[in-house]
Amino acid sequence: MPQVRMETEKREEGGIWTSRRSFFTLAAWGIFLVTIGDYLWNLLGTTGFFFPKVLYEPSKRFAVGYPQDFPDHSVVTLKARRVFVVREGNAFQAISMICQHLGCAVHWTEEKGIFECPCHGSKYYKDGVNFAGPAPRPLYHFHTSLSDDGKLVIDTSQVIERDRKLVI
Amino acid sequence: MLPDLKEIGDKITQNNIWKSIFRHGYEDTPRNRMLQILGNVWLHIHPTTVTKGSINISFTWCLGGLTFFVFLFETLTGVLLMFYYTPDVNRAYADMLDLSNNAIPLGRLLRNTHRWAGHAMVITVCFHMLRVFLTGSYKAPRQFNWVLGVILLVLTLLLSFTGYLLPWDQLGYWAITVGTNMAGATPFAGYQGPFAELFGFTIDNDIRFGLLGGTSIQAPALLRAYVWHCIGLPAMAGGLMILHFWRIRKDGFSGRL
Repeated sequence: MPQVRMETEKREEGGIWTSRRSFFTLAAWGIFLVTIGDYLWNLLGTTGFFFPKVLYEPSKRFAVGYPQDFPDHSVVTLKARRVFVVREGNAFQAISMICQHLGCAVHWTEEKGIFECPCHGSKYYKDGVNFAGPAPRPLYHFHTSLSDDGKLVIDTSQVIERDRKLVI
Repeated sequence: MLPDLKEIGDKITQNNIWKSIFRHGYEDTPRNRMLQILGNVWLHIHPTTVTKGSINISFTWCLGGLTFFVFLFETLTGVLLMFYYTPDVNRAYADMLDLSNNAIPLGRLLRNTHRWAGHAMVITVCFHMLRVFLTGSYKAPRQFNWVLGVILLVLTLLLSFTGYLLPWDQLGYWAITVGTNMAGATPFAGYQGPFAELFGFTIDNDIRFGLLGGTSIQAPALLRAYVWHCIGLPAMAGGLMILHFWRIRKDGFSGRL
């Protein structure tokens, strides 16, 4: 009959770096926490719960009417679209109403011939260039085009250079 | 050469920050297990022992107490307002006007006191903080309670901010426009902030988008403000208040109350 030798498990000093059991415990915790972290990121990250995949927002591309509807040498305010249509002769520009400081809506002051922001006093020339107040840069100019039925179309997803105009 | 884990553990636990949150180690004995239950704030909001000085209200600065009172008042009036307010872009402003014009009995009193108490809470919180600062009550062993207080201040400001949008009027709309555009300039996390391109943040996936539920202030923004204002933020503030008061009871007051 073979003799069974009972030996106490040899405990090695040095913690988890040498003990097999502790290594697996730590590895399991690691995998668990990484998994939880991944789930949390998927839940709360920038593709997670608070970031809907479908937006029900107004289209960024819209028709604003026929060019002849806009009087010559005028700045027409399209409040709901948050955009100005500036006409100089046969040249058209679409300038954003959104102030470059903190996003308030600027308004056209006819007497002074400038855009002014009611929130913090930023001022812009007629071409959208800032000259007073906290605004750091000029107002955006949006891409304009003509639709097939001759209407003026503005695309606020396309910001263009200030000197580009739609000439009809 | 592998790093010494014990040394790393000691580095984490043997410093002022850790010790201000966790006062001492925990020895697993039957007595300590019992004490842990008795001392657990989530099981016993009222501590088993309280020093006499902690309940003496003869010399009352009590600005924190006032803040708490105003918070309770806001909770009560807020719940009552919820009966008549709909967080819908077509109805919110009209509901607010109905309340203001007493179409509902006591409506004007409810709405106006809720609004004024909201302002009052910001003011009392600031004065409370100023008092704690001037009397040096943020010093050891109360550093962690100061940290909790700072978080509560932020939550108070966020409650005020989210409440601002709910009437869906011009004032609130533009205040939220400005405020969320500031959030959009957050370093790393906002689309207009520095290093935004590092993580690929644009207008439709940054922190501002997360707050508004869209790229501009529309119906989702109103609904989000409403849910955060009525449920999310008060729940967080309430939980932290429990911890805040509990730490005061445990540590005692720094001077006369």
